[in-house]
Amino acid sequence: MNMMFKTLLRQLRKYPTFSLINIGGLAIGIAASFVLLIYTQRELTVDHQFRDADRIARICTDFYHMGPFAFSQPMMRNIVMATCKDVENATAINRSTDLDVRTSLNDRAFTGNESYDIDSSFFQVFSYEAATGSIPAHGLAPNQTILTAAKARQFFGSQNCTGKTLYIGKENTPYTVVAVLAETTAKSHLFPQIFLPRKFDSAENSTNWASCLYFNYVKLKPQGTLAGLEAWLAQLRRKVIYPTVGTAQTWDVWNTASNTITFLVQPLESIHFDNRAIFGFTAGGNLTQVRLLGSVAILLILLAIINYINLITARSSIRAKEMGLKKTFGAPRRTLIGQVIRESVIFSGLAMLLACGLIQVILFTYQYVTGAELTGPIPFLSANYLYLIAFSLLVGILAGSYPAFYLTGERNRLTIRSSGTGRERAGIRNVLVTLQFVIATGLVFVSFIVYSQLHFMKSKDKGFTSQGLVIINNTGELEDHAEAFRQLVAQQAAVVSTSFSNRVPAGNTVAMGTYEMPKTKKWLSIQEFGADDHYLNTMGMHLISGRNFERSLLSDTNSLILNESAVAALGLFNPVGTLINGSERVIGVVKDFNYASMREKIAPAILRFKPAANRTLVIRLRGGNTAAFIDWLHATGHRFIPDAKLDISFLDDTFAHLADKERRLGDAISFFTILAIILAVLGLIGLTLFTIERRTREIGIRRVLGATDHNILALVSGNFIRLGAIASAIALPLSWWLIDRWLDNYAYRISITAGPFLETLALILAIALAVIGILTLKAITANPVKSLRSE
Amino acid sequence: MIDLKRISKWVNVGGKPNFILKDVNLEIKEGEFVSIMGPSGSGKSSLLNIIGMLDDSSEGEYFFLGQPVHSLREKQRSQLYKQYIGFVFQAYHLIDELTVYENIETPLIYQNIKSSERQAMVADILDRFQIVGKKDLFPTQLSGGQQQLVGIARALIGKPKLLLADEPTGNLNSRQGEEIMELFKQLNSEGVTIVQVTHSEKNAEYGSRIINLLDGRIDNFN
Repeated sequence: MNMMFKTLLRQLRKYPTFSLINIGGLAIGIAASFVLLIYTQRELTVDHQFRDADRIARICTDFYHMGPFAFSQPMMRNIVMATCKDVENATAINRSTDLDVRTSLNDRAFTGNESYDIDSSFFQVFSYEAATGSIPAHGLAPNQTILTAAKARQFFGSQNCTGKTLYIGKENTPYTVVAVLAETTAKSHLFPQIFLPRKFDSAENSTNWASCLYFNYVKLKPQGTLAGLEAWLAQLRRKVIYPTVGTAQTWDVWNTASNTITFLVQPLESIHFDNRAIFGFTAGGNLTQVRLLGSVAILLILLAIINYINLITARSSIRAKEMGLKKTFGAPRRTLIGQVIRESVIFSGLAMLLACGLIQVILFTYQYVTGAELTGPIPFLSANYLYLIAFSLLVGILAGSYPAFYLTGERNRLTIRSSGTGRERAGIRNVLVTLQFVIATGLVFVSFIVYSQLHFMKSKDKGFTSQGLVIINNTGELEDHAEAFRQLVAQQAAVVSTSFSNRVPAGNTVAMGTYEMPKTKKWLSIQEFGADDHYLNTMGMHLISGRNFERSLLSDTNSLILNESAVAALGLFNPVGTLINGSERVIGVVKDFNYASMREKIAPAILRFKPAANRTLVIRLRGGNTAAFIDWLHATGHRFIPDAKLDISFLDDTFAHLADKERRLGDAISFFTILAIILAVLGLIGLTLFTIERRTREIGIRRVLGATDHNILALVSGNFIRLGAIASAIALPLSWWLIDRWLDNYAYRISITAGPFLETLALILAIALAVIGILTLKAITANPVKSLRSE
Repeated sequence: MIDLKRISKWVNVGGKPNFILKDVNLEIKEGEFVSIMGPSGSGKSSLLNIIGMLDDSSEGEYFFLGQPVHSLREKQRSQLYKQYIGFVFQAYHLIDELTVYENIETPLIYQNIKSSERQAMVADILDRFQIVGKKDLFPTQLSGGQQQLVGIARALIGKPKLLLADEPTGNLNSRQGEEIMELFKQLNSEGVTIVQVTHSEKNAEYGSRIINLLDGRIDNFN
């Protein structure tokens, strides 16, 4: 064993480039794929950390086909606990946003905080652990609060804060901190900052089932089932909700009508990837992305293992003598196989040490480059590193097994010839190099396509001009002063026009109305946008036919402007002038406009005239000094109402947020594609160096026989280029097929043209030729006399 | 054909020039068969490499067929030796990955000769050297003498005016050596100028002139 370490160490020193490439390549492979595996594992186990996670479920609700919403009715908790026999416990969370928090009454407030207002059973349903203090089993007493570690750090620094007082909200209500949650790397769809006790709200006794407020979770009894809960909800609809609606419809009609109320039960462990319910706590994950990056992890480690195998077997002639000698001295093959595998395990062990550092570098670089977190922290000394050791061991064994059989399986070279320059078995190596090219080419192609799609979604015509639109989302708080405020804004030189509305595209309000199709008499739920008469021109929407609302016409409050999709959905042939719902007249048609993610097809939408709307102010700006204007807005808003803060956003940014998932996927894939290319380049460097070394004499002979530099370059690169061509022929159709299926998820998608194919080929060819060219330069410029000196 | 004027070659060892060749003057006429002799380290191979344009001299002038090789650019020089010079080595220097046929064909490829023409030329020479039956074998499957025969065939395939041989029989037994020397003599009589480096007095006798090198100088007293 000692002897083995010694010879291995000497080898490392004797062939530094080779060793560096081998260990470096393995380290990058291990680190990158480990990061991705952790990412995959954390994404796939979101919310699994809660005790009895498989018995917890969320009740979402949907009414008037607007949802489903992630939250549901405030009285749900009481009734489900009292009457559903499958349920052991239930809790409701109210989410309060934009809270001011002070540590003392004299200090400045921390703004923009969010609290989960909880009841007595919250911690019985969700098992949180405290780092300091203790979590009261039966909920928070009035004036008690619990903080997460991050919030505790923000408010109190590193000092222990249990027992300290916080002043929360406009009234500076004092709360005593009773516990700080333990930090964890486990992900949850819940993202608490501050827990507060929920005060009784009269809505909990309401009978209005068309109003939602709380996030309702239930914990089933051990023998309880989701089906039981769903059956109970069906009974609830029939026996409790239907009678309170006060409709003339029969149960059977109401049951499926557009004004019905339905429920959606989501098992806790599936909430993260189930994005049916809107307005949830957190954005949720993307299973496609997780699967894709999981596959990338496997591809990356495959690249690293192939590098190792190629370099080891390429140098087999160097080891052949050693193996031959040992065989001659009577070493059984088993021992030699063990030796090669042990060596590779040691290599991967060294690589693992390097990878420990690289993991942090990758996490940091990823966050620095993309601005998003991939996994959250992977702290040293966590259980994850046990996985890392096991993973590296596995990689070492995998990487070592083929070389072990290859090296020890050779006929005894000693007995054949000492020069060892015979023709080599390069078949498997060629296959492996091709596989590497396939992986690299495929990943490059996929990232090109993902980015093109992203760019396409960004630049696609939305049906209105989002650029230069500033939205103030809470002008409703100005109440009677809103119109005065608007007029002041409209007078500013930077402003082109202004409009009040109840809803803007990509906003976080949903409004729906039901409309009767004139021909079939069927009722449809259609999205509504309430707005004043300046909406169309301020948004830059295009009126196709008919006219805009007119403030002077009182009757226009009963007028509708439809988008093209709504015209089609309602089955109208000559829409302008048509009466809908008996008394509502269509006065105009606008070009389809996007108001949600580009993933989905533009849905029907109807604009309604709301001359008194003041919830949201839309401002179209001239170009120029926007920052100064925003500052002016804030200052002016503050003058109007001192304790309200204007919620200002740019519509362009809001739309960009809708494409966040795609952007993250693009960033992640291209980030790891670059790592994959680095790995492939490392492998290429190793093999090229080896090829040149092995062919030094041949290159010398050919130079003497009159070969030019081009001839030599073609000689060295010829095989790689050939393999690259074969690889492209495999990788491009395969990745085309895969990415085409991904693109099918989008209502508006690019069609794949020759462009990305050519770009991919050009990039791969350029990289391969650059690497080989630079390395070959040395061989070209060397004096052939030296390499041909007779032994 | 070859005119060397005050050729010197040195390498720097520890800042001091270490002379390999010093003030060598040599003229070789077309049709000559010259043997260069001398003890190990006397600069025989270096002289041959300079004549073959594989290496530069540090000083002096070299005219080949009237052209000043010392002032030619790399490309012109390579053009010149591709056209006029063939090399034979002691260690044969055949390419192991290529068959006998392909080895012989290689120089023609680099002279941009058309494939059909190449075929005819290689077939000719295989025939002449009576190695047609070996054309699909790899070098490692041949004996030393046969390998050298292939090496000479390869050197001659481009119809050079000058054949340079560095110890062509050094790795062969005496009978094989004799055969190679007979071949050289015959080639010479057909008009090929030959310069060979050799240790063996006997082989040197095949030539029409013997040049003795001693410590990088031509030894005129012999």
